Amino acid sequence: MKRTFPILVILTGILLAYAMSIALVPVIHIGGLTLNGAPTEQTMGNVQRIFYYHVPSAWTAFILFFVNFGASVYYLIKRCDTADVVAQVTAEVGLVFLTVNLVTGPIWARPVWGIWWTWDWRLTSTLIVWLIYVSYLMLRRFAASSQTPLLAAAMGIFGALCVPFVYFSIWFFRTQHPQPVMGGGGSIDPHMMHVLLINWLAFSCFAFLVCWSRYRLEKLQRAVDEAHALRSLMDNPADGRRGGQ
Amino acid sequence: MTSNPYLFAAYAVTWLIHIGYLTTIVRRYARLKREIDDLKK
Repeated sequence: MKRTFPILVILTGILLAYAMSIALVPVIHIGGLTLNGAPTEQTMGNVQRIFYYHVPSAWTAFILFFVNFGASVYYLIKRCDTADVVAQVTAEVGLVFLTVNLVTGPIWARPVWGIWWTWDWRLTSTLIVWLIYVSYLMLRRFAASSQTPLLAAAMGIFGALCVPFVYFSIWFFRTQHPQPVMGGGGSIDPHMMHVLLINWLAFSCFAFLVCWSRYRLEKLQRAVDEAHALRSLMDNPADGRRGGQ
Repeated sequence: MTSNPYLFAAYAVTWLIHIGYLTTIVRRYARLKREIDDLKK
């Protein structure tokens, strides 16, 4: 286990570097080897390459929110501490990826649409989901009640239920945002799709590693908090008796 | 081609966000390690 993590970090680093290279350059020459990257889009030019970070960030965030949903449901049924930790970690890492999606979107929109932001269904619903998970993490951070994991689980379920609305909003409403590249009315060049999927794979591996280290940190933090509580009980046993009454 | 600064900005911001978040994790690990050392005393 101790060796697995560094090996995975190196492999993910190589995958991320490769994914970024093929996203940025149409053709890569390494020695005698020629790799095909993403072709330059005819209308938008090179700025379209933001797509290879913008879309995989959203997909990774949504997958993490669905893991959060599963862990939250499991926590509500079984009151399992591990499920609570998984829910907390996936919400936090998912929020980071959704932040990337929300920041890269306007940077792409400005040269293409001529505006940074518009209050259309897709953009607004994504912002609402982002705010739900910000609230989720604030609840976890600032509410010290024993009921906090329960409330957080309910909030996590609500947040994940909003995710399909974000995805399907461009199916049901007329929006500024383009149609989805998968399962929707949009279409994409096969080379672009290949680069998109490689970037998604790289982002997913990266997200998994971040979740893993964050999970270990959270488990350790809870163990230390418990040790602090036990120590204060041992130092002041009268407090413990009063608490038990 | 005139849009290249936007492309650079998007990729740079992406990695700044990720590196910023990873830095918070490393700092939390360091703080926790200090707490564990205090507990051991």
